[in-house]
Amino acid sequence: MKKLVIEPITRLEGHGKITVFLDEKGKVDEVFFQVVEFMGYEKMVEGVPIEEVPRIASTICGVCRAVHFMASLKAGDQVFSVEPPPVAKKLRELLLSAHHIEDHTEILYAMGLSDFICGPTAPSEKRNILGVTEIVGKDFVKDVLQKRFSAARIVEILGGKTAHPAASVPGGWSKSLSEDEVREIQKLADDCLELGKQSVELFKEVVVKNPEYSKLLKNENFNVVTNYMGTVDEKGKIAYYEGTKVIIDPEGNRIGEFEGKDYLNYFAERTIPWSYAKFPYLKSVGWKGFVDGKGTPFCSVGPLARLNVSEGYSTPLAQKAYEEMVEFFGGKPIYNIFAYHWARAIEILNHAEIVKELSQDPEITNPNTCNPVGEVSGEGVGIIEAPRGTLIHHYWTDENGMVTDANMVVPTTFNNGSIQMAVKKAAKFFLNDGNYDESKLNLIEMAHRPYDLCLACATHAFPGHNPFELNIYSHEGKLIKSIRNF
Amino acid sequence: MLVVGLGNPYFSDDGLGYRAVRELCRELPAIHLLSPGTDFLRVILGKRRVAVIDAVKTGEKPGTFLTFNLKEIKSYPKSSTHTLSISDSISLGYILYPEEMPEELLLFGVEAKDLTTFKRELSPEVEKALPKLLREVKNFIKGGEDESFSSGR
Repeated sequence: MKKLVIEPITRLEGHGKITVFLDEKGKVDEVFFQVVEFMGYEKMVEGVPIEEVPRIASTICGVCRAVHFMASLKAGDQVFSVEPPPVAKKLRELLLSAHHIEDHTEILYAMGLSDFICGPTAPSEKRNILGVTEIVGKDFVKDVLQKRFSAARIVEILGGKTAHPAASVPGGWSKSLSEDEVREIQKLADDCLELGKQSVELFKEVVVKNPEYSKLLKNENFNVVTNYMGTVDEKGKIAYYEGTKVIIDPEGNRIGEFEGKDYLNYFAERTIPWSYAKFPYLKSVGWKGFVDGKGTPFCSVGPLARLNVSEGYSTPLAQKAYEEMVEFFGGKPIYNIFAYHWARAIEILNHAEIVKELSQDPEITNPNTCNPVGEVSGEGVGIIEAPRGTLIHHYWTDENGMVTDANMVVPTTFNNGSIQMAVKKAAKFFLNDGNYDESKLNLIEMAHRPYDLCLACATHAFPGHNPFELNIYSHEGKLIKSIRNF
Repeated sequence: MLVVGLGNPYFSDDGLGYRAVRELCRELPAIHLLSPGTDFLRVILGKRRVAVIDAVKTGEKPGTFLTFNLKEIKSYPKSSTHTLSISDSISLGYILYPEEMPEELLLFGVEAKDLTTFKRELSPEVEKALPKLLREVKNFIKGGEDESFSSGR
């Protein structure tokens, strides 16, 4: 039989690597989570008209397609000095929420919950959606998938294409919704709502009510204590498309608020020789190395970070689920990395409620979806909340709107420092018994999976798959064990 | 019937699937996807015959035309922690939707030379293989018999 190699493992010519160094007693000393490939979309968009960038940026990743599209589109509005009309913002928000639903569902069911449903030490070929299907049954998975298809169909209707949206126009949206399309979206929104409700319930059923997993949620070995960042609306509720970016310290005190390019006042990036992904840190704290707790320079983003910085969710069912979660942990901020999955499930519900609400908005069929563009300003910053966290696209252009420079700060990069610490904690917890079998890689992967890391996005490479390798070295630098998941 | 072209249109030979879809969509139902997650599953459900087009790396000479049947695709090892691989998507499809999955599914590939340079053009070797690829895909989709179809494997 021929050897078939069509997957990113060869396309990327690299992968994620976790390197563990043991001390003289065989205990975990240092752990490095390395990203060893780089493609650099920032360079690639140089010379491209800013209005073309959303379609190119959406190909950074096959999974995160709508978020790079949306952030660069918002930056394009600013480059052309134009504010989209309210209906265009609503259409964009609708697409973003539908995308969050499809993305979170795939991550939660196929990747995150499979750790718990199949068991943390199940072999990797079983610890996936196929393994989940064997355990929970075909009908359940089929039902989830069908509802996820409903969210994907909403993205398709709004974006004008099956996968990667094409309806971007600076100053608006290139297509209005017909009455028929709205009726279809309203029907699909009901599926999404059911999916949201069942996702929250399933998490509680599978994880919270399981005594062993419930202990993991409160196990301090899996606490990664950092600063947190997210976007909130004027009532302090979580927002995704636009709002104020808020930063809190590990104790929950608000230490920063910004919009647009003011992110540069708060963050600096550190380059480390052993990783292609940069390490953003808070300027006000300064670089202190890989430490968590009070005074840590790192700022986590994503569903749990959003929950930590906010007053909860803008919709009733999600707010109720949020209150239950906060009660379980006895308050906020919540530091346990597995709580990311819980917050992810609640966000599915929140987005489904948003989709339902927007689809019933009488203005959603308004045909005036565009405002005329103004002067070329030469600079634009688009910031949105992606499923994985705060995403920043910053562009500079010439007087014709051709990109001259770009900076993309993606959630996996923001979380890079936190992921390092989560993986180190997991390695210290799981590897200190001197037993390095195949299941160890799975257990350590459980520590980075809550961050839903996307190496494609972090390095702006494509297309978003994460082959991993775990290498364990003795204190003398001798390779003791090498485990791969590919 | 459906043609699904996979890959990133901005990275030279990885754009093969996109380029083929652009050529074929005038006469056949054809769509492009960047990667084969559950969206891939969504679009192939209910189609009797599906041709998947992608650039491949097998160690053959760049520009070599290759096909892979269902068994060969399904045997490809799983690697993803972020989304589903093509083998997982297809396997899941036949488990969950045995009645709705294609009766015939073939992957048509061309050995890639360059998958990393940011450009829209295919390498000369892959460009040269394109007419044969398009011919074979059309034959398959339309159910035609063509001796060269099997000789390319």
